[in-house]
Parts: sequence; C-alpha cells; structure tokens
Amino acid sequence: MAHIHLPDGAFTIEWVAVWWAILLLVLITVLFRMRRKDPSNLSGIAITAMITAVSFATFQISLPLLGGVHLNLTPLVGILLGPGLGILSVFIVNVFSSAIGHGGWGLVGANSLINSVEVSLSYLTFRLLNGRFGTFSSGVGAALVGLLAGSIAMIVVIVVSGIQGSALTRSEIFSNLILLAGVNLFVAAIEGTVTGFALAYVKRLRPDLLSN
Amino acid sequence: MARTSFSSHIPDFYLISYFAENGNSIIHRSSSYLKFAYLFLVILATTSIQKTEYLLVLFLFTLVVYRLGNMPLNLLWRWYLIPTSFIFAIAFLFVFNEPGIQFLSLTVLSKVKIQITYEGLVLLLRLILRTLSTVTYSLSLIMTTKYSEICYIANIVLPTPLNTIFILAYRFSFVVLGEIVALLKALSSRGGDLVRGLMTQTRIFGGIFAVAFVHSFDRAERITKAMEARGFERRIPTHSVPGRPSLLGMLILIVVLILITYGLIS
Repeated sequence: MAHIHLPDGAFTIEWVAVWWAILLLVLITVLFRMRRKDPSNLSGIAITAMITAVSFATFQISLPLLGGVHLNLTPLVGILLGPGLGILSVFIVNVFSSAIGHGGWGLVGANSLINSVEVSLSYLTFRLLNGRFGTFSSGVGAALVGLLAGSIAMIVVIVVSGIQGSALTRSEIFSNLILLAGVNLFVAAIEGTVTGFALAYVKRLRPDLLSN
Repeated sequence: MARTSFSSHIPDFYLISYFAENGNSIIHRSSSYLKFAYLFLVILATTSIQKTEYLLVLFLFTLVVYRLGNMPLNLLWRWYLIPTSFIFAIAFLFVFNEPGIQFLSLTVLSKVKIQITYEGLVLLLRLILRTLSTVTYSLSLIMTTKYSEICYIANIVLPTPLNTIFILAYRFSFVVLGEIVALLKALSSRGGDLVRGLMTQTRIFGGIFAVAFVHSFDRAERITKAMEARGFERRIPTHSVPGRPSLLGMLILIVVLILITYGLIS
C-alpha cells in the first residue's frame, strides 16, 4: 500500500495523546464549519458515507500488481469529496481499519492526520492542474503529490514521536525511514495511475462529479 | 460460510459479520459496553507496558479471549500478515542499528559488516507483541459484537454527523464489497485476470473502482431522498441497547485500570 498504518505500541502514551488531540481539533473545526455552512447537509453526509464504504471496501481487495498491493485511494477520496468531508471520511476508514487490525486504535489520530494531508493536498493539486492538463494527468499528478506529502507527514510524525523503546536519535530514525519512503513512492506510482484512470472514467460517466 | 474477499490475509467483513451475528460463546454473551471498555484497557496496556514478559502475557490473554469466542485460529495467523508487515516496514532497520550488545555479526562481500543487536531484536519483538495483542483483541471484539450494538455504541460515542456517516458507511461496506467482488468475478469470467502489463491492469482496476465510486454517488443521492422523505433529524435511530455489564466484569475492569494507572504513575 502507498502508506503505512501505524500500529499500536509504536509510540509512547504521551505522543498517542498528542496526535489524538490534534486530530480532535481538526475534526471539531471541520464539523463546526460544516454546520455553519449547512446545518443539515444531508447529501454531504450520505455521499461521505458511501465514499467511505467504497474506500474501505477497495482496501480489502488485493490487486494482482507486483505480487499484490492494497490501495486506500485516499487521493481519489480527497478529489471527489474535498478536504472537509474527505477528512471525516479518512477518520472513519481509519476506525474501520483499526477494527480489523490495520493500524492501531491508539494511532487513529496519527494515521488520520497523515491521510488528511493526502486528501487535502490531492484535492488542491487536482483543482490546480485540472483544466491545464487532461483529467488523467491531473489525477496522477494530484495523487502523487498527495501521497508524497503523506509519506513525508508519516516520517515527520514518526521522527517527532520516536519509536517507543528505541534509543536511536531522531536523525538516525529519519535515515532508517528514508528507505521506507522510497518503497512507498513506488507503490504510490501505482495508486496514482489507478487514480488517474478512475478519474478519467468518472469524467466520462459523471462529469458533474468533477466540476462541483 | 464461503469467503468472498479476494485476499486471504485481510479479514473478510462477511465472515466477521457471520461470527458476530451467529456465535453464542461466553464472549458473544458478554456486554458490548464491557468489551469496548476492555479494548480501551488493552490499548492502554500495550502502549504503556515495557517488560517483554508482561507483553507476552497480554498477548496470550488476547489469544485466550479470541479462542473463548470460538473463532478460527488458522485465519488469525493469516490476518497477522499485514499488521506484522507494518511493524517490519517501520522498525526492521532498528534491528541493525539500535545501540546495544551485539547478537550476530556478518561480513557481506568481504567488506560490509552487518550487525544485529540484542536490543534491536527485543525492540522488534516488543512491537510485534504490542501490535498483535490489540489486533487479536480488536478482531475478537468485532467478531463477537452484533452489528446493531456496534451502531448503538457508535451513535452514542461519535458526534453528529460522524455517527451517521459511521453507521451508513458500515452498513454499505457489505453492499459495496459485494459489488466490487461481483465486478471482479465478471472480469475474471471474461478472462480479464489473464491480462498482463502494468498499465493495462491498472486501467482495468481503475475502471472497476471508478464504477464503484460512481455507483456510490448514485446510491448517496437515493439515500438522501429517502432520508428527506422520512424526515431525518440529524441522527439515525438505533434501538439495540447492549446488555448491562456484569458485576465481576466491572470489578476486573476497575482493578486492571488501577494497576495500569499505578504502573504509569510510578
């Protein structure tokens, strides 16, 4: 997969609390802005729920590429939902994923923040590129930017928090994680291409979904 | 129960639901409130316990809970693959450069010296025990708790509209997964899985996922209209109130919580 779901026990309890607190602040801000804009926002809720279901379901499918990869399609979620609803969606996907053991419950905060970076940057990059380039190219570019930023965010989160029980310095942890980022980017290229093809297909079937 | 997921190492949502709805073990009959409270304790314990032997005891405890729920161990080993791969992805290199007593030393290509330290191995072992403890307990929890009770608790715990998104997404995950599996079967029956080439395969899967996303928008539009027609008032009503926790269960919960808190403070 293009990003690692950090497992329970990787961070100390203090850092678990810190990442949860930041995520709660982000969620409260998103919910507050949502309510101020449209108090009921029924269609937004229903669309977010359905996209969340698709994102979680696609993750359960092993693609027979390079021996088997799993994709969360967070960039695609971000492009279709936008940053606000996208952040709510990745939070719920992380809760579901934790329930089946992919990512820790304690680290839902850190994992959701990493995914939120992917969702937000993919959306913004797609808005920037779409129109100047074709839908496929914009989708690939947006997904790659989002996933690259997600990888960087993950490394920052791990380096800042440190691995529980390790005596390595932050710079040593950083150099250990560089290799992981390289592997991540390789899978990100596949996820980016899938995102590009999916968006090109969406544009043919429902162009209104990309214009709104 | 036929397994419908396309990955043997990913917990099958249908199978999980089958066990949750049809099981009748002691864990199935326990209060869902209590099971969620114990989840909190397991997370707290895995995050705060430092001694390897205590972590091993915690892992064995979660395995006992899993078996008491009459759930299959042969699937559990396969389901450990992805969580374990996450740990290795993060911490594998620590085995080689974690400072400490040298455990093994190898000279590769007559020049490059690789050493494995005892502390690095212990770090990796602890991480594996921590992660697999929560994975095992978490799977025990969702495989023994009915869908309706999970939704009831989510409705209480999560703020609006996150609770509505959670309940709808959970409900429709089964529908969407079924739809994607049907698309993959259709592709396979036409010989589509014999296609080779990275770009061709990604185009095929991109198309399948796009169909799932477009259908989800169509479905969301229908759901919105149905909710409006029914006079939706910010919250989906859930009526399956979980049973009250037993006195013994509560007592154990409090004692363990005190022990962990004491350990954390001291």
